Amino acid sequence: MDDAEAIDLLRQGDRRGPQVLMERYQMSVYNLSLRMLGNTADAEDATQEVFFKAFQRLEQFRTGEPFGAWLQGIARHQAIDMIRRRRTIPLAAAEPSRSLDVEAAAIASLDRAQVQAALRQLDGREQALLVLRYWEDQPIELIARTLRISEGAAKVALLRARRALKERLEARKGTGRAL
Amino acid sequence: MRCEDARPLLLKGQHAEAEAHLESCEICFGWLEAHDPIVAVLQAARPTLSPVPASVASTVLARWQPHRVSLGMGIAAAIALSVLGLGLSALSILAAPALAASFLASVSDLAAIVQAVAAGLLAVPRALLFDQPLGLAAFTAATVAACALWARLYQQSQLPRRTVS
Ligand SMILES: [Zn+2]
Repeated sequence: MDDAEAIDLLRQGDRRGPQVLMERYQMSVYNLSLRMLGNTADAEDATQEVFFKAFQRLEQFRTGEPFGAWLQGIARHQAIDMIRRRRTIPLAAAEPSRSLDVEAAAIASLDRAQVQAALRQLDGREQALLVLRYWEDQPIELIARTLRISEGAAKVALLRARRALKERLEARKGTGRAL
Repeated sequence: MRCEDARPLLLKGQHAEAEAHLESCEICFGWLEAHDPIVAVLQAARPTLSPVPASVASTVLARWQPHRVSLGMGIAAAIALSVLGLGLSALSILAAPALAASFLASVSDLAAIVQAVAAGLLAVPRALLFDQPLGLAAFTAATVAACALWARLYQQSQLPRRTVS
């Protein structure tokens, strides 16, 4: 059954429609939510909300548009809304900047878990920017639209978010060790 | 500010003028991403895909209710109810003609009273609405607005509620 057939069934109130669409797209929606929100409980809530909204607002879906891309759009906005409702974690005072090459070498030696943990210490908006750009490979204009800011503002915000992450990673390497 | 002046400033730290340049410079944006070690570090730390808990789909599907009541089903139900009502009336008249006649007589008396009261009650709104086209138009608009509000409330009542797990 292709997407168009599943959507037709959904519109007719046939349970097989939403079943097929969930089986097909829950993985991508859940993982996008998980990456943006950083914990499984929120990702589960977000995924449920995304599918509820999609099924309730099916009249907004334009036939011929890829259903997966439409869902991902709802998922991005859902995650951003949830991030906005959260209290943000304030950034600790930044470490003084060191030479770029030395920083690069030190940061490159960090493992994946350390980088992910440092990312989760950033505020929600910075996390969203970095996840959408470097984990979800989204173009800057789409990120700007999702965050409801201009493209120029998104470019600067992304630069600042990278800088904030770098400071977090340096802090994780320990202040006592030479970087 | 020129690109080659902005880039080292942007790599070092916040600099208002350099950031203003970046806002409108696609080339510097790309250059910064290519030269920032954090980009590669982040991309290497991209989480692998996690399996979706089964409860997600089961919760959505359990709460999902088909929106549309089929029009055909509605009409069929209305016809069935009408036929049932007519059938019951006919049966009662055939089974007990005397009882039915006295019942119908009392109903017609009651109907006459109700009609008189209703006519009195309706006289005022009738005078207000039907004799004044503007009043009637305003009343119609208010009715349509009320219907739209009810439709909106119904739509909202269909939105998902957060599940407690
Ligand atoms: Zn430039």
